[in-house]
Amino acid sequence: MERHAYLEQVTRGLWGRRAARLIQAELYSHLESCTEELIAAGWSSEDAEDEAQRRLGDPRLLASAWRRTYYAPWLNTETGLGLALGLFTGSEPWWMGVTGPWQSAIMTGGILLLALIAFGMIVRQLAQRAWAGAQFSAWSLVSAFWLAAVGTSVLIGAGHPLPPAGLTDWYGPGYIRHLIAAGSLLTGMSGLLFFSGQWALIRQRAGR
Amino acid sequence: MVDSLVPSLPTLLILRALEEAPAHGYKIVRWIEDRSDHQLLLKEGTLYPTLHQLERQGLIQGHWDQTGSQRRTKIYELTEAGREQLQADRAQWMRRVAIAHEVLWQGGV
Repeated sequence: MERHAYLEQVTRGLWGRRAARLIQAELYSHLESCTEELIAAGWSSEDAEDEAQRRLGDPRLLASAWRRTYYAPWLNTETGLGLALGLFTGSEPWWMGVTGPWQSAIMTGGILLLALIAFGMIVRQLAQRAWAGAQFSAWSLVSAFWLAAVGTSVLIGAGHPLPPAGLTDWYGPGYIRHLIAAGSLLTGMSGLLFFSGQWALIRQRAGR
Repeated sequence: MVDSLVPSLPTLLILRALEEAPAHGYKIVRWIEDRSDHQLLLKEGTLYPTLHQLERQGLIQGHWDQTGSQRRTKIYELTEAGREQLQADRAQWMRRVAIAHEVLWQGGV
């Protein structure tokens, strides 16, 4: 297989072009070192290149290993936290007055707990000084979620300028909270659907 | 679980190789092969995901450098946390292997 195609296959399924390029550069250097060593040992150039790739391994298995390295952690933690926070916020039970005080306390406590866990994870990563590409991607994703939620809220507000029943304060804090909640809920649900699909796809490819 | 009885051998070997000197992935593989008289062979493809995991854990640190042939290469070096982890894992490995040896050959410690 041609080297570029081989490296493309190894990084297939990795989101983020920069991360994929860096991994490709690292593996390219490995293949070149191996090829040079084999040529020095008497191999022909073509055979040496093939052998270097064979030693590095089946590109589909390697792609699966890279996906497990980069995606499993954030699909299970950061993204989950971001989406859960969005869904909690989107449910807005205490703002709409549909629940009793004890239910409201449980909801608020849940959100505070999730926020505390998320904060703890950031502090731990900072302490470890282990800010690799994957962590940046994960937190960019959470930030992207909130940006999308606010964007969706604005769109909902623009498309539905009348306040919902029971909210008379036109563009007052209550209506803005309701819009942000609706945007968070929509984005959270879309995000869950999207990532469930992506995760299923990754598992399917890894199983081939 | 048996796997958790001893630290991961590939990880231990990678950290040990980097204890000698900073190195890129290919050099790490060759170092382990040479020092083990070709008895311990790391799977080259899975070495790199392991290196990235160790880097994320803060045990090693990578930086890009140019080789003699002007090729970009990522060089890894052991961090202070990695050095401490290596010492702890190495000691645990030696203890557990000695005990396992007794159990396997003598039927108990």
